[in-house]
Amino acid sequence: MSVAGQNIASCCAGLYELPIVEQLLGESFHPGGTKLTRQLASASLVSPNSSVLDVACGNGRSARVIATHFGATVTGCDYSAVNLRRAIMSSQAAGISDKSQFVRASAMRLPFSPKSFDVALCECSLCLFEDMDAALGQLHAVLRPGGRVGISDFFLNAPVPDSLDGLLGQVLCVAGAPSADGYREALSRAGFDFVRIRKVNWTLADMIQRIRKQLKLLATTNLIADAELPNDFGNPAEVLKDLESFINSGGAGYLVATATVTQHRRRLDKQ
Amino acid sequence: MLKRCPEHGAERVLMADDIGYYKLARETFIKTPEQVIAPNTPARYGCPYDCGICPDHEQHGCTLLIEVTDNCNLRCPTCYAGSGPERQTHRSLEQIERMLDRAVANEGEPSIIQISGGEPTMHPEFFEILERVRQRPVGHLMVNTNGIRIANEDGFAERLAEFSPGLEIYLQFDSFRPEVLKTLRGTNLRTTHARAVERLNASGIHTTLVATIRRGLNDDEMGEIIDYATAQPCVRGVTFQPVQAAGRLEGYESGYNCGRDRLTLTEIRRRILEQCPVFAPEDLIPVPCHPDHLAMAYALKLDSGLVPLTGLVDPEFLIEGGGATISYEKEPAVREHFLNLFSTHHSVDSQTDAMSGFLDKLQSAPPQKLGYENIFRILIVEFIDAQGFDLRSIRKTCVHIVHPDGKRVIPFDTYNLLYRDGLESLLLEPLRKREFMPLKGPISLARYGAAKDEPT
Repeated sequence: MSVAGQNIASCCAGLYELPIVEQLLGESFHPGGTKLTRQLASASLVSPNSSVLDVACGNGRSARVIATHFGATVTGCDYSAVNLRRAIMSSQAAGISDKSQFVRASAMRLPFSPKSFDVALCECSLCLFEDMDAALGQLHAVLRPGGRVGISDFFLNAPVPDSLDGLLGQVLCVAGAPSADGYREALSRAGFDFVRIRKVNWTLADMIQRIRKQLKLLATTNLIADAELPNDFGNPAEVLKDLESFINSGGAGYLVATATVTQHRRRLDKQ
Repeated sequence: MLKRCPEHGAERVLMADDIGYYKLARETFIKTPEQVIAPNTPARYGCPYDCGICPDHEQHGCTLLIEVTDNCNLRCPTCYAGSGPERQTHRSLEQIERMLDRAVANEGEPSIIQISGGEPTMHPEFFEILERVRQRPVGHLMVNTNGIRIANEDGFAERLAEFSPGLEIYLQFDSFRPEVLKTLRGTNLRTTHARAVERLNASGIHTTLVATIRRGLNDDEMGEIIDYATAQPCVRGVTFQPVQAAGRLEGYESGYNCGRDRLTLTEIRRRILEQCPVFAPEDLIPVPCHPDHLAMAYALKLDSGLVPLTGLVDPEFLIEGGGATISYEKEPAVREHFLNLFSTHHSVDSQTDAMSGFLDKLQSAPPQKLGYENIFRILIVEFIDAQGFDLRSIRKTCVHIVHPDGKRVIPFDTYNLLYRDGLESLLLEPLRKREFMPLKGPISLARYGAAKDEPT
């Protein structure tokens, strides 16, 4: 990836604004949908008292889950103004405006005071940031001691086949993802403790199924106009097939990572 | 939970603040109950007015308490039994034997008999009582104590040690802070508890530390208590119990207030996970015989600290295997399974990240050195009180108290609410005699300003 961080964020965020992308991926863009969001938030110990930061919050679907299902207060930030507008509108419609706020910001420069959050979530977006170490450093800084980070993302254990290197590959965040151990090391480098990584490849199987269904639906209803699909989108059905076999061969997968900001005991009272 | 009373109206009570975990407890971690050999009382008035055990109670007692005295050398502001120095009734040996025989009749071979009170060590024939327990087919003998006699009396711990193995001290241990101990126990027991643990260490008596947790008082100390427990050779585990609103409940500003003072199991669980990040959420799981009120975590206690085990065990095994018991590690099958986890690690999905981290840590301690002594248990026991009273759940309680009449065995939870001492005639009898009052219409959710829940 050669473009600068900001450009990546904006080009990628721009991609997510395309109606076709939402049509294919569903309202919650990332693999696993809101089910995985709930799992991620649970693993990160989100509670009704938590103050949660959702980095790259997109249309605010996860923020709504965090506010309604967990009762937490949530701050979403995203680089796309269009997404943010939708996030704000949907949070108002869900009656959670008092529990949520949305800020336009780049993950590389978070506009929050240090130690101001209990939990930071970053779903399916960390591997898109050009400098993952810097992004994790930003997350570490805004978390209080004892706070948790929760990440869901792709991992890559083998080079991406050429057929997946196109735009769809990028939509699916595959290109440029680190390996599972890469995430572990990056989290440790950023100063996090108790790094835990769990593979959740079921989310990808679910997502591929969904996209297939949607493509079929769109094809039968003749809704896919050539104009709506970007040029380098490739043949979706073939890309999906390649992606599936790549995942099954262990080349890539999806994971959930959690880690803790070190907290020293108030007073260690051993004898 | 929304509940209502024809007399007092409707009320909304927090049962858990973690939907995911609560659902796990209610839907996944459910074991087929095991009942007592024969119930002692008929189901006549309807639950919970028939306790004794009645045929409707789904769970046998995995821990049976025998309260040998009402006397205590403390007068704790928090005491579900309302014990104190002013109460002088010690039960006679004959009566205690009758109670023990009831326990044996109900359970066949009771897995745990807990000698309790009052302060059981205040009983003039305390050691004779232990002997009488020993004469019966009892799996494990537990003594529930504040540790004062162990700490202050030379030779007391040594005499206790004569009952090892098979004896476990259930030692009150709430806090490291004098002001907290003063609020909970009426006096600063800091050095007393430490000295008791020292002596138990010296005598090698298996000990579980028991912390009564009160919101805003000591709920930030659980991690420290676990750290401390890990460093004590005699300590095999820690049990955390949120205050049950029953008996004596003093020291609350203008009385116990459900909305302000109630602390649920899921809140305790999260605080443990926060304060002890070595445990992941999947390491602290529901106990399948009473999943919504008991939670457990097992770990290996090594020189380098705790290595959680529960997350590595297939939940199916805990739900299907072993008997119904609060002390899983006492089940031979479960114990074997835990120990096998590190001797035959190929039986576990070696791809899991937890497992590889686990094996890394194990390299510091060669497997042949590990044994039952290395298994460490964290338990959360949330007793049901009037606030969170749930008829479905109360039938699954498995900590029971043998009534002093020697004829009945009553769940700990209902005993403290309705059956203890004068409560039975004062509270229970009028309730039993009361005519059925039908309730009108459904409970309105809107009245409680319930948050607009999205179907997620």
